[in-house]
Formats: sequence, C-alpha cells, structure tokens
Amino acid sequence: MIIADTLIQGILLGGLYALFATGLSLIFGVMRLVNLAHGDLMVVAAFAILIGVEALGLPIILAAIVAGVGMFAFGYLLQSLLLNRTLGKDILPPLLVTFGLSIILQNGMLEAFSADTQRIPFGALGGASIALGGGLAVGVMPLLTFVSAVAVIVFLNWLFYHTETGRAFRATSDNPEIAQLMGIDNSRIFALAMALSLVVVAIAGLYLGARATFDPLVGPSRLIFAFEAVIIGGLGSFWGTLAGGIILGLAQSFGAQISPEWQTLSGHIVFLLVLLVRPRGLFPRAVD
Amino acid sequence: MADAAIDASRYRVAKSTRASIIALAVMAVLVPALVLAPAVMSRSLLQDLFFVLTMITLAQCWNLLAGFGGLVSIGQQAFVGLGGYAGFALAILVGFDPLAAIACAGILGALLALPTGFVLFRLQGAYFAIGTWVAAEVYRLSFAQWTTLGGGTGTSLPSDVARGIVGLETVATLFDVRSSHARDILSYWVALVLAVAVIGAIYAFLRTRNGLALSAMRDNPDAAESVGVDVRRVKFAVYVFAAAGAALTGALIYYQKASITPQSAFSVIDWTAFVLFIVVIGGIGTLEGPIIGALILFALQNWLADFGTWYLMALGALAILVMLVAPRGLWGFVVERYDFSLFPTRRRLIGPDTPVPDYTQPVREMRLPHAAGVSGADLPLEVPTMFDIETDVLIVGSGPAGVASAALLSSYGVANVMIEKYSWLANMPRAHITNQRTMEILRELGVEEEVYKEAVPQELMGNNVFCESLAGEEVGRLLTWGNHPARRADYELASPSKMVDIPQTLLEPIIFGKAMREGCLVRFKTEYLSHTQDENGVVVTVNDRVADVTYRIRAKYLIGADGGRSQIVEDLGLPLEGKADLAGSMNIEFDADLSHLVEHRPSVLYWIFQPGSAGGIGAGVLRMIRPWHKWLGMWSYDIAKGRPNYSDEEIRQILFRLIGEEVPLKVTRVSYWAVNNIVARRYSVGRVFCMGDAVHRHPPTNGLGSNTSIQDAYNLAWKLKLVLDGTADPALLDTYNDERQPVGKQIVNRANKSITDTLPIFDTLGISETETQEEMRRQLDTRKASTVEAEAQRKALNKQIRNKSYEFNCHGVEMGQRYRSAAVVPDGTPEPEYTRDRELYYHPTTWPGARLPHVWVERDRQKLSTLDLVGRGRFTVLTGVAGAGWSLAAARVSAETGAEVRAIQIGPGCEINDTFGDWALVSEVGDSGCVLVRPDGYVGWRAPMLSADPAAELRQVMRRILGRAA
Amino acid sequence: MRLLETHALEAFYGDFQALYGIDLRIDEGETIAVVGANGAGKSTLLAAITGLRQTPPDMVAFDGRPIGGLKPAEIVSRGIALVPEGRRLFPSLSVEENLLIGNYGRKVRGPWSLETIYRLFPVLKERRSQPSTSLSGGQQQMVALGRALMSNPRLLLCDEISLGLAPSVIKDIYAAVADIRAAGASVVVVEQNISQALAVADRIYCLLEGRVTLTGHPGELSRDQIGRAYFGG
Repeated sequence: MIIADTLIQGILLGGLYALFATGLSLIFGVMRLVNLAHGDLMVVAAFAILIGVEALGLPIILAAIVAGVGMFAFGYLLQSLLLNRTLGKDILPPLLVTFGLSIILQNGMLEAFSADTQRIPFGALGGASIALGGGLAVGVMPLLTFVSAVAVIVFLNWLFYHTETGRAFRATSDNPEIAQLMGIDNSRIFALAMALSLVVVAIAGLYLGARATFDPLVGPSRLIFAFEAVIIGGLGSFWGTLAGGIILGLAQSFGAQISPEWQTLSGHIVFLLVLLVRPRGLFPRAVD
Repeated sequence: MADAAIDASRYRVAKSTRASIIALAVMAVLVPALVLAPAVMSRSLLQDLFFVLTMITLAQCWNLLAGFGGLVSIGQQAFVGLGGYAGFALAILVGFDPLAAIACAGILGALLALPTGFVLFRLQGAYFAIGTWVAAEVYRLSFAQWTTLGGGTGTSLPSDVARGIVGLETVATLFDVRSSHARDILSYWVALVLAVAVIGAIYAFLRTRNGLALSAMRDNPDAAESVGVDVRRVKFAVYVFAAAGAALTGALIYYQKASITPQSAFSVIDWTAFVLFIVVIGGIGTLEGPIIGALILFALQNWLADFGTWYLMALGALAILVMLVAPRGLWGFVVERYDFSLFPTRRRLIGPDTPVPDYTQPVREMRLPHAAGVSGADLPLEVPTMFDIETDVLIVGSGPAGVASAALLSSYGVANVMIEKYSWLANMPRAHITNQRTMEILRELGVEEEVYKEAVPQELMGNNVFCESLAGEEVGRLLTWGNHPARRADYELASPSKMVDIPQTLLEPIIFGKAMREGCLVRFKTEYLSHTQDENGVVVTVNDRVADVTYRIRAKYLIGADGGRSQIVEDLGLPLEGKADLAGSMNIEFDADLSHLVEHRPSVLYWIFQPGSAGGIGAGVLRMIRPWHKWLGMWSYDIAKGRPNYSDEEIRQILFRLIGEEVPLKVTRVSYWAVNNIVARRYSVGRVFCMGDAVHRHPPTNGLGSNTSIQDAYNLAWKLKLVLDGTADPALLDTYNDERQPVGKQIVNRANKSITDTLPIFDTLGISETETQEEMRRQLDTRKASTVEAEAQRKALNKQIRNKSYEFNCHGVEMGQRYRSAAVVPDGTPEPEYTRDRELYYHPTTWPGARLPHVWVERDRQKLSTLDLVGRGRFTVLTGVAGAGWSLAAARVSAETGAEVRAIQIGPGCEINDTFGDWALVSEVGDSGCVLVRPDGYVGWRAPMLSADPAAELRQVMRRILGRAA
Repeated sequence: MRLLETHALEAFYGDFQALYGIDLRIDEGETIAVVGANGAGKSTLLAAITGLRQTPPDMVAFDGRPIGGLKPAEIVSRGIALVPEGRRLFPSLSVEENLLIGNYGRKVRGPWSLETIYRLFPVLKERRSQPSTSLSGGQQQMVALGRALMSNPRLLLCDEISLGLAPSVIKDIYAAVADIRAAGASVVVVEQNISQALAVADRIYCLLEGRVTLTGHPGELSRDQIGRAYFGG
C-alpha cells in the first residue's frame, strides 16, 4: 500500500517537475539557450501571482492570467533586448548572462519582499483530496498540477507540429540563416519562444507557490530539478521531459521513504545514473 | 642576413617578450614584499589580502577549466566545500596538524574528482555545466548528513586544534602578536604560496605541448568536436587539477574561518558566482585576468558591501555588461589594444643576431611564418638545449604521406614537426582517386564527412569513355570505380566508406587541418638539407627559406615523405629498382564548361585516341577536376627529344583536338612529368623511414599513388607511437619495411601494366601508326563493316576494353593487401584461397595479416562498422558471446605490456550487437574465439576458441608483435 | 518595367573586396543569368540582394524602392525568393513542411501552391511526409525550388542549382525553371555552367573577380567573347 501511494505521489510530483522543465526544454530546443535564471523567473511569477491575490484581491485564476501575460511580455523584451545578443557558438555568454540575471533577480526580490517564506493561498482546494479506495487518495492540487503539465505539453506539441509558427520554430532551430530567407525574423522567433517559455514559467510559478512555501532564493534549487527532468528525458521532446519529470518525482518520493534528507539526494543520484548509462537522455531527438 | 653562413646554434626559440621580462622583474620584487608584509600590516588588511589571494587561486583554477579547457563548470563549490570538510575532519577527527590536513584535503579533492569527472565527462557544453552543479548539490546534501561534523548546522574548529598548526608559537613570538593573529599570518602565507604555485603551475602547463594544444582547441570549435582521446585526457587532467586547487583553497579558507556549515561551504554564490564574475570581468582565457578581476571585486566589495543586495545586483549587471560589450574582459581589451602580455604562452623564434636579450633594446624577434588557417599558438617545441628544435618525429614533406603521418601521429599524441620546402600544400590537382581503404583511414581521423562534402561522389565517377575526341566518335565505354551493378555490391560490402574523387589540392588541406588541430607543428618554406643519425636520434639540418637561416632539428625518428625526387632516399642510398623516365607527359589544367559533352556519361576520365597519343600513359586523357568546368588534359611527348616548348596557341590546339570542338577555355597551368617504374628495395635505414612517392614512383593509372602513400603513413604511425612510449621494442619498426615494400612493388607493377594494357586497343583499331585525323577516322570505320574480319575486330575490342577493369575496378589491389611480418602472428591455418581474381576482387578474411573485414554492427541504436571498433592507436580483441575470458585476458595483458588492448564482445546481449549476423559469417572464429586487431585495422592474430589460459596466450602474442618475445 | 536594380554595388569581407560597383537590372518577366568562375562574386551578389550581407540602402532597389540594409525577412517579404546553393533544406521538417515554410507569413496569390508544385514535381507528392534528409540530391533540389516558389515570388534567385547533380537530373531541374518562367516570375540564374545558363537566359551577365565583364543577349555574344569574359585574359 505504501508503495502504491509512493508511486502515485511520485508520478504526480513528476507533473510539477515537468511544468518546471517544459519552458526550459522549449527554449533549448529552439535556440540552444540554457537559461540559468529559469528558476528565479518561476519565483518572480509566484510573487506576481501572490501580489495579484493578496494586494489586489484578484481571484487566483485571474491573477495567474495577468501574471502569464506579464511574463509573456517580459520574456519577449528580455530576449529581444538582451539574450539575442548572447547567442552564438560559444556557450559561455548565454550561461554567464543568465547567471548574472539570476543573481540580480534573487537579490532584487530579497530587496522587495524580504527573505520571508510565502505561499499562494488556494483556499479549501489546496488541501482537498480524492479518495481512490483501498486507503489511497490523491490530492486535488497535485492532480491539477499533473493535468496542467499534460495540457501544456499537448498544447506545445500542437503548436510545434501543426502550426505555421511551430514550423518556423523548428526551421529556425535547424538553420537560422536560411530561415531568414523564408521571411522568418529570427530575433522575433527567439523572442516569441522566450515569451512562450515564460508563460509556462508563470503556470509553473503558480503551482510552485501554491503547493509549497517559497522565498526569493528557492529558484536555483527548482532550476536543478527542471534541468534534471529535461536531461533525463532527452532534449527536444516535450513528452520526454514529462517522462524525465516523472522519473525524478518517483526517485524523490521513494528516497523520501528512506528519510526526508534522502528525497533530494536520491533524485540527484538517479539523474547521475541516467547520465552514466545514456548521456543524451532517455528519449533524445534523432536529428541534431 | 649578410652572412650566409650563420652559426645555427645561436638560433633559438624563446617565448619571452619584453613585457614578460618586466613582469618577471616586478614579481621578483613583489613576491618577497608580500612575504614580508605581515610585519607591517594590520590584521584586517592581512585578512583582506588573504581573501584576495584565495579568490585569485579559485579564479585561476576556474579560468583554467573554462577559459583554456572550454569546460564551463558552475559546480566548483563542490571541491571548495569538500576541501573545507576534509580539512576539518582530518584535523578534528584524525588529529592531523592543520597544515597537513590542508595538504591532504587537496589530495582528497583530486581523488574525488576522478569518479566525479568520470560521470561528468560524459556530458558536453551546457550539460556539463549543469552536471557540475548537480554533483556539488550531491556533495552538499551528503555532508549535511555527516552528524559527527554537525550535520546540517555545521561545526567549529576547536581552538586547540586550530592553534596546533606548526610554527604558530614561533610566528607569535617573532611578530609579537596573539595566537589568533599568528594564525592569520600563517594562513596568509599559505594562501600566498598556494596562489603563486597555482599560477606558476598553470603557466608552466600552458607552455607545454598539451597546454598549447588545449588553447588551440579552444580557439577552434570545429576541432573541439573532433577531439581525439588525447585532448580529452588533457581536459580530464585539467579538471582534476582545478578540483585539487579548489579543495586546497577551501581547506585553507575554512581553517582560517575556523567554522563551517554545508550551506556556506557549498555555496554556489560564494565559490562559483563570484569566481566566475572575477574571471569574466578581468578577462577570461588569460592568466592576468583573474588577478585583475579579484582586485576589482575586492575594491567593489569595500565600497559597496554596505549596500548588501544592491552590491550583488550591481555585480551581476557589471558581468552582463562586460560579457556583452567586452567579452574578453579588461585584460583582453588591453591585450587587443597593445599586444601586451605578462605571461606569454606563445613561442617566438629569436633571430641569431640577438644572442642574449638586451633589456634596454627592443627585443628583436621574428615570428615564424604561419600557415594560413592555423590559429594562435605555435605548437610543440621542446625547450631548446643543444638543438634549435627537438621533437620526437620529424616529417619531411607535406604531400599525402606527410600530412597523413602528421595527422595520425598528432592524434596519437606523438610530438612531431613537419617541414615543407614550399609555402603551401599541393598547388596542382595531381592525385584524385581516393579509394575506400584511404577513406577508412580518414574516417578514423574524423575528417571523412569533410572529404565527402568536397569530393565528387562515386556515382559520378564511372563512365570511362574511349573516344576519338570528347565531341567525336565514341569507341567504347566501361563502367568503372565500382559503378557497374555487378561490382557495386562488392564495393559496398567491403567498407563503411565510399570511394570518391577529390583533387589533391582539396584533400591535403583537410588532412593538414586535422594535423594542426591535433597539435602538429609545421614549418613551411623550410628545406631539408642533410641528416645524420646516431643511436639516440637523427639530426636534420634545414634551411628556413624566408629568413635564409640554416638550423638543426633533433628528432628521435625521421620520416622521408619528400616525393619522387627524394633527397632523403638519395642520402640514405636506398636501392632503387626499375627505370625512370619511360615516357613523357604533360598536364594542361584548364577551365572550360564541357557539360554538354559529358552530361550523358559523367565520369572522371575520358580516354582519347588521337594520332600520336599512344604512349605517355596510354592515350590522351581529359580528366575532370571539378564537375564540369575544371579539367586536366594529358598529352604525351617524346621524352627522348626533351621537354617540348609549346606556345600558348599550340597548347590550346592540343586541347581542342582532345575536346573535338573549339569551346571557350582558359589554360591555367601547364606542367610536365615523366612515367616512372621505380620502387625502393628497402624503405628504411635505422631511424629514417621513407614513404610515398619517395619509395614508389609510378604513373597515375589505377589511381593508387596517394592512396598507397596515406596507407604507408597509417602502417608506420602506430608503430612509432608504441616504440616512442616504450611499449614496443624498436624491432617493431622493421616490420614497416617488411609490410609496405611488397605493396609498393605490387602497385608500381600494376600501374605500369595498366599502361601497356591500353596499347592493344590501338592495335585492334589499327590506329597505332596513323598520322592524320582522316587516316584514323578511316581506320575507326573498319570495325563498322559487316565482314567476318570486322566481327573479329569488334570482339577483340570488346575484350580489350573489358580488360581495362584491371585499371579501373581493381578492388582486390585496393583493399586486399595482406601483410607478412614479425608483427603478424600466424594462427597455424593456411592462407585462405582466392576464389575469384585476386586483383579484381577483394576477399575478406580474418586470416592474420589481412585487413579486418567490414560488416555493420550496432551499439546503442547506433550503426557502426567493425572498423569503427578498432584503431585510434590501440589494439582490439574482437570476441563473441562466450569470449568473456578474452576480455579479462586483454585487461591483464594491457596492464602488463603497457599497450592498450581493448576487448569487445560482439553478439546478442553484448555491448555490440551483431544485428545482421554478418560478423558471425565473416569472423571465421567461434563465439569463444577472438580476432586480435592491430591499431591499423590489420589482423595481428586470431584464435578459433577460448584456450585454457587465454591471458598467457594473448601475452605471448602481444609480446611477439611488440618485438619483445624472449 | 524594371523589377530589380543594383547601383554600383560593392561588398567586402573584412579587407577583401568581393564586389566592385556592380550595375545590374532585371525587368519584369525577364530571366537573366549570372555566370562566372568560382570566386567571381556570384554568391556574394545574391547575399547582398537578399540582405544576408548588409549594403547601403541605395545600392539595391526593388520595384523602385531601396531595399539595401533591410533585414532578409523584410526583403523576401516584398517578393524575392532564393534557392540557396547546396539546397539547405530543414532536416527536422518533412518534405511538405519544407514547402509550407516557403510562404511563412507571406500569403501571396499567384500560380504556385502545394498543388501546382506537386504537379511540377510529382515525386515530391509521393514523399510528402518523409523527412527531407531521406531524398536524393536531385529531389532535395526540387524541394528547395518548390520551397522558394511557395511564396509566389516576383523574383526568383537560383544559386548554382545544378551543382553536384547528375546531368540527367540537371535537365529535369532546368525544365522546371522554364515552367517557372512561363508562369510569369522573373528569374536570376547563377551558374558556373555556361551552356545551361545560355539556354535559359534572356540576358546574361558575366562576372570576373567582382566586376561585370560582359553583358548582353545570348544570341549576340560569341562563345569566344563569353570565354574571355568568364576566364579573363
């Protein structure tokens, strides 16, 4: 029974990690950019939603939508004004610039919100659960997270493989120079990808803030989970990212059964093991 | 250069610049001053200096990793924390003197870097960066569980332990300070020693061959993708070094702080973010940058630390700004602007007229001429002692044999220098047919794809036309180079690689580029003059034709790849067999668009029967250089009358006759050559080895020249490597001659035979003696008659044209060479019989001495050739499902002999899957048997099944191959 | 009606000057060929027209308006399409997706659509859902041509579309170029292959070391004149 329960919890936790990871996977796929500020941006989104709910009194959904729109705009500007200038063959400039951004965001939030821990109030729904019989139950929030993750991935897959914008994303990823000759404005496409990524970040921020407490400095640790999910899954496939998230979630859940300290550690260890066996992740893209 | 005779011993290589000499002088003052500083400095200033010094050390280590090694780590806190904790554990729990504890912490850091690096080095680029961070988190979480050292809340260093450091009392008395102050003084001194030692070690490393190779790799991202085993190893060593440096620094920092927590010891901000910002702001990829960056950080911290978070935000913004505006940092800006370097890692050749650097005068220096496309650092020179340049292998000549030797030796990690008389590689597109065996070697070198991109594919090579002129009557056609449907399968089955046509002018730069990326040092415009050899090496006197300076190069071995007029062959007195100057031929390179004449029959070669063209290489030839606009016309001349002196118009008329119509064309070059039929009876004397055209000189028929040259190089390179690293006895080198000379002899004969095979076609057509075009046309018409004689003529012609397959489809000669020498250990079975014509058909076998047969296998969803499993300078034991015993034997024999023997099991459930079952068919040994493959892809020995003592058997075989049999 | 014009067009790679004052014009419905040996500056010319190399605004005019210095995406959206040398298909897109990307953001009415392109190259229809990397060189060239046509360009630029192809395939490709002309587009064919170029062009420009050395109607030029202009001397 404990095993079944751990299994369910682990899979649902995987949904959260997949949400953390999908935005990262998206921008890496389109422009080979590794965003070290991704975790901090999730925290920024969580604070934005918190302000919407607590200071402005908006309903959570509305606050999340407003935050999503805001993050979309922020992502578009961030990419067009700053990050587009770092793209190139060398991996150091984007790593360093996003690392610098991460430091700025963390300390900016410390300045603005202090180091106190926060939580997005979800009311009764936050603690509700659905009984499955046999003593098993699933929380509504974890379930909602998982469903959101699947919905985000279904949407992105549709966008990438069935729309003109998606084709442009993939063409730009293949060969940015020739893509321009198709009338595709690379810097716009990259900005759009980052904007979309940050919308996913806003959704991730909602669950990050609603499912556990957070403070301005939790970004990096969430970023690590996101990376682990992306890399375990193999870059370039959104479903792979979900699988990576689930594997990480399961590893952590089972680790937590040993002792609470082992939760994070066992996730890392499974990550390193996967890398030892399959350095390109479990479901790598064929081309590339 | 008034004096022609310049004393060569005064010509030397140096790496110093005037700035670096000043830097040395400044250091000579600064370092003692820093050592004595505690006597006059306040304690807080001392602590500040301690901080700066430790940050410099960490920054230098990270800079070595990321700036020089291209390994961007964001997890160096792993080793800082590890060092801190190890120091505490050793001092508190084991009772070490703190100084000893710090030193041991450094060693522990290096030791733990081995498994950590083993995992992380499977990742590249950004993945690697993230992996390092995860590894650091693993360490942090693990140490947080170590309750003896305080678990998650950390612990303090008991004051008696902290005071236990050696010399504390002396220092306290000497400086008349309290013991805590004395501890700071001691910590400061250790930090100073550490910083100087780390900078010195990195500087020294960067000036070695490995260090220079590493920075050259960084400058060329393409090279980074095709890294050989050796560079990976250097990078790994760099990673371990940086880990040790971080661990030492960590242990020292926490000894000085006297308390530790997992959060602070493994802090990504303190030990990675700051360090990264220091390096980037100061200037990444320079030794000066981290020092400047650390000083800037310190200054900023003093001014802005009160602003807390704002300070960090400003720092992040500054780093972003630097990365966007001046990506090479402050020091990079200085260097770019003023070409100024305190720690030069490049070498410069000091002219002989400046015997001793004179500090008051500008140092007169001459940079050696650089080859186009060669970046940055001049590569491997050993420190000059008696000789001007010392190296392991000197290669004379940069033709196919020379560049292939340079690329192979460099990729095996053997130091080598290549000299070339002229200023660049081939300027004439002489060799072009590149056969599958050669492509396999290029595949191992990682340049196969590059060659395919430049080359004309096999499919467009093979409509060999015999005609009166290109526009005129066609006498017959032969599908060549494996393009006949019946032969295509033979070619495809034989190799993972395809035959292509690529002119020498395009192929050489590709191999040359590989050699340079792997660390070969090249001197163009440098002519071989003479050599002497003794039991320790060869001394070669060369002339730098730019500066007109004569100097000497000392090498352990010399490769003479100096072409058909080899001076080295002559100096050695190698016995030559055969005749030179059998016939004369001229090459006319020209640009013309001939597509309309060839589009229905694309080919490399068009053979043209014209009055007076019988001779030379058999007929007149139009050869495609680039489709279908660049061409080479070949026309023979009577060598007895000497080289003709045609006017431009006469040359154009020759081409018009070959083409058969007056198309617009431009002649770009005319050159003359002679048909030779020469092979050296010996290829080597002592420490000098000759290869390529130097030892086999023959006409281009069969297209074997540059192929054989590259294959010569492949045969010798691994033997030199094993002898130079002490693994094999020099006797192994004798097998080069034993294996390659028979091949040379065979191909020289084959190429000359192919010329004479063309002549009967002239006879049959009755045009051998015709003198005018009309006469020839009449003769050509006789075969069209409906007479019995004409039928016989047609039959004969058909047969003679088909017979030309011995020139154009000679797969057995191309692929099927078998070696007999001391480096091949017979397995007692007789040589397998040839079931088809041995010249035309390649017969795969694993009989010792034969090339390992190619079949496709699979690893981890990846399609591989059996040839991809072998090579790269090591031996390979290929065995089957029941051959685990050979794996153990291989590991033991590797360890004992020092020669790397890798065992690979092929079969279901093994690392390599025999997907198609082809290996089972061609291996000719059982599932428990094995095939020992030499580094050049040739079978050295095989066993039908597992024996009672596989290790003993394999040991004995390996010792025989390595020339170490008792 | 003048469609494209360059005025004293120059281009540089660092210190190296690749184009020296090229004056070139193409009228509506016209096909011109730009011939020249390797390194004559042909591809640089196309890069300058399409904006892959930046030029001062007034050096290139399309439809009477200056387009020099605009981004490639803006230039092609005015009705120019390039078939790049070496085909350069997008490997992660299928054959049909490669065609569809050709009219990204530019839905211009005209003779070319998926349907008409499949009619021109029926083999592509059979392979529409395969990855573009699985095609032969000639078929890939068809996709590259089709991709450029999808935007119904008023000016089609073809860079060395016969390079590396078997002669029989070259014939098929050029037969398609004739169809494209007939459908009304202006075409610039850049070739090393002179006979091919002469066969399709209304006018030719011969480039040598970055300069126009000869221009005129194919019928009026002797092979000798072309030879001299092509090779110099």
